[in-house]
Amino acid sequence: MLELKNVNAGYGELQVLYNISLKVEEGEFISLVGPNGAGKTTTLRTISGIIKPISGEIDFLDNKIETFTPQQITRQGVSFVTEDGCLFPGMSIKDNLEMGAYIIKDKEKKQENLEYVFNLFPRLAERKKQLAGTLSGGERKMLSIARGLMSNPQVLLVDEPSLGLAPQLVSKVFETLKRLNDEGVTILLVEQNVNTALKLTDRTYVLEQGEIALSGSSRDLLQDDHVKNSYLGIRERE
Amino acid sequence: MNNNTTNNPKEKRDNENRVRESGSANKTVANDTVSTGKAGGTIAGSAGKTGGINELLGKIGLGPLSLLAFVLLGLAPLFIDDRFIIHLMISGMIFGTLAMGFDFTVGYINIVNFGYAAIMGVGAYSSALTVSRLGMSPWLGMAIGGVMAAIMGFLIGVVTLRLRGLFAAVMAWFVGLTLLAMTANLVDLTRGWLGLRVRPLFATPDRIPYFYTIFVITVVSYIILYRLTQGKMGMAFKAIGQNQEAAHSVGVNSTKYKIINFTISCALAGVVGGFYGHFVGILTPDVMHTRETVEVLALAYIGGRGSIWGGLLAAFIIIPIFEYLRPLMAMRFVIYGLLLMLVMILYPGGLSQFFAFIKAQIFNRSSKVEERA
Repeated sequence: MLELKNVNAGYGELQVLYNISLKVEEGEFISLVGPNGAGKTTTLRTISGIIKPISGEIDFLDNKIETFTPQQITRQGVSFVTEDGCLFPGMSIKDNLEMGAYIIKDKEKKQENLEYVFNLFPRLAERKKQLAGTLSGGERKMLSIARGLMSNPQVLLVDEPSLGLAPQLVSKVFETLKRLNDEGVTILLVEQNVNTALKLTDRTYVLEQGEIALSGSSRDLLQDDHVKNSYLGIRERE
Repeated sequence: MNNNTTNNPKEKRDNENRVRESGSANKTVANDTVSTGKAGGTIAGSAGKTGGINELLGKIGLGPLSLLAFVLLGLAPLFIDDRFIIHLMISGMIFGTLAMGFDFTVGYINIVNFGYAAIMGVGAYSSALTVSRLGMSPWLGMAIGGVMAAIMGFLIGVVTLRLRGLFAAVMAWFVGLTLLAMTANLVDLTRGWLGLRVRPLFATPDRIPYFYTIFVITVVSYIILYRLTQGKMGMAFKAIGQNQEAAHSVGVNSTKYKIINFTISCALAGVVGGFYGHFVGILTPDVMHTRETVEVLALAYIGGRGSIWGGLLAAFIIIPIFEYLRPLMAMRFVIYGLLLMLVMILYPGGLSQFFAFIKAQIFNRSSKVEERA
């Protein structure tokens, strides 16, 4: 449903992505892993239209979305949960969630989505009147994922949900993502925590210095020597 | 804000437990939870029969207190004979309405329109000139003033609002300075610093008709601005003001909404400017000066950003103080500066937050009394 074909992209003069091609099928749980500065976040920003690619093609469903504005891409059904959560600090949890459903006109549908995410994250329901700016890191992360879900996305782009969270919360966030995927939500996850990402997802792309270095089923990559040495090995020594 | 949690925490918890057990299929239960919030708010306010009227008034942004304030203000000329006090009230409403229009931009989309006084001046001069040159009625002139200011606001918006907050503010400021310089130098048209005589709105020297004209403008502006800041458009404004990136990511077309916001806010300045000209009777380029913007800004900030009504209240408190204490008038901008700093540092929410705090205190107390009973 989402396909990048030979995408080159970057910031001004600085090119970050070189010939990125990747594919996400409906219902899949894909991870995009790699070291710092490899261009993982840039890839998500390019898909969601915040950065325009220098060249290449991005197909989503039946459209070529590489020239679309971020709002148009959101309306197509791509929901981007950014690293910092990108919340509205002065709005309550409920208002933040309602903003997430901004593109949905149908009030009943909005209500349904609200119930759905409140079920998913009962903690948010308990605090729905609280301002988003006063939430803890974990709650903020949950709120940003919940908000991403409010627009009935076809695909959810999640950027480093584990960043800055306590280990216990990290596993909770991953469990939630897994559960969402089981319920049929297509997810493209960017993650530095390679071990967890590989265990959790169906397929994985490894991004190194702006290029796809490896790709394949996550289970195979767990056994891959390069991955073991570069990512998993280092983690074990720590 | 915390009203609800303190009102009936137990009931709430029960509801949520039910939701957790019920799963997504059970719609009615969850509906219940969502609506408790609303119920909590009104329980403390009123019960039963007054609910209908309250709801209607709530829709146009009038609580019992603000309605009372507006009615008292509207009736004031019946009881007050003093021309000077009526004059003060007119000044208060002029500046208060400008502050409301200013807050509509700064308090929601979070852009400081430093050219606000210049836009008001555009309205004032357009109105004065259409009346004197084309012989139109001043009423039509005021409308034209509003339209011209709206066009100006729209154009500035298109040019500046793609920029981020500070850049947009600086750009609006420069446009304001340019407009001021133009007004001062197009002597053939505006008579520059010599001042342009403006035909008064009414043939009588009586202030009462002016009072009611600006009163209607103020009340109507308040209701319009309030309505616009509610609902979907208001949410979009707030979203843009708080986090533009996030607003984009949820699908808000920020440029469009910023331009809409700017145009409306400037249109209001234009109408008030038109009124100002016909009320004062003479216009000099001074009205477009940045310090006039600062005065409006100070009122809006002291009143509390994002409240709309705060600026109006602040104007009614501060303008008369200056008028009564004439010696202070010369020091006006020093005092505004100090007040502004104090508010920004010590109490950024301004008067409106103070009132919200008082209200919460009263409601909390009454709910505690209910519990005891």
